Amino acid sequence: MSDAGLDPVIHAPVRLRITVTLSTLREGDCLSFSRLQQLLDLTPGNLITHLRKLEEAGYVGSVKPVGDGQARTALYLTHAGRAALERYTAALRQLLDQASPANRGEMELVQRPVTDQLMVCGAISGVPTSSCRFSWEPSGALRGSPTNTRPFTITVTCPRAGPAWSGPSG
Amino acid sequence: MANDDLLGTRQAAELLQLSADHARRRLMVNQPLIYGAWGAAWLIGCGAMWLSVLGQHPFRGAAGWASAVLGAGIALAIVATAITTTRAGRGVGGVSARQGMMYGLSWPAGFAALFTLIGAATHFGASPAVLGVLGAAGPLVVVGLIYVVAAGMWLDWIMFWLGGWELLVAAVGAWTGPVGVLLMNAVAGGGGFLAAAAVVAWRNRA
Repeated sequence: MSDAGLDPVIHAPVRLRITVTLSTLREGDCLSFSRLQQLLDLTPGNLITHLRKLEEAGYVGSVKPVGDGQARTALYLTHAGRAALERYTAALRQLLDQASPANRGEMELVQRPVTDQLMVCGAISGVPTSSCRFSWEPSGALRGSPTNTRPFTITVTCPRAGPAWSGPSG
Repeated sequence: MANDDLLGTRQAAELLQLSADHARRRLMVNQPLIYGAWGAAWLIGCGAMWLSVLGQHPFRGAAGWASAVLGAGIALAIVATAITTTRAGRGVGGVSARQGMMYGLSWPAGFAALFTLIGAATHFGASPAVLGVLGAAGPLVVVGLIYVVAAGMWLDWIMFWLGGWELLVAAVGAWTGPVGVLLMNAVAGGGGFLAAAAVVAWRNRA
């Protein structure tokens, strides 16, 4: 497994496609080499190269049709292969959840110019207020604002919450 | 090879989804086509038979042209079924292939037995009315039973209800007599197939 948690045996375009295609078969079924090649639109050499890697990892098994010496083998995803694909899918989902904008590290919740009447309302569930930092600093003159007001920007920065919470409010 | 390792997380997720959809679509039998072809054959063929016997007193049997229409419809439906099942199943071996082979053989076996039975009924002097009822309701009994059992094999609820419906149509239709049973076959029997085709097509789209 790489640091990202994505199985490098599966995490390559061709091998991902092979694994996923074979995973759509019912357990106990296999797919001929030529049909797999046709479904994936690959050259035989390319397919063989990647199949070898998957077979070495124990993810793909092959059976030779009895009686027909000329016929190519039929392939199937082993139990280990199915489990690896499930782990890969889960890892992928977790990475995507973490990468979504609402969860990217620290987040600016409010950044808006306000005048001397300060009131900012907003609530984000799952984020304890004590863990947020509030800061304010004077900003450039507001366009068209009266000269006796002091425009500033208030920033509320909160640490990343669990994966469930949604974007900014307030 | 080197390029193969450059795969972003989002790209990988998209590729995974696309590959799965692509494989499922190509490996799936086109059920709407099969149901649609049989529905059309039943609706048009049995409809023609019904028109040809309408007002017969006493009942003599369907006209040759009407039987030809039904025969052509059935032939087309068999071809459509054979094409989509071989296309989807090409290269697939193992449990599914063996199940599919036995399922495929149940059709000629069922119909061979039915037609032999009707032949025997003719031989032992069954009237045209009895033969008319047997010839019309009999095939629906075979179709209905095969579907109900095959639905259990593939856990396909639409196929299960379609089979049950065709059994009901056959049983009720038989009691409407040799003329009425043809109308039942066309409208309720063929209609059941067409409804199943529409439901499966809608489900596959969603």
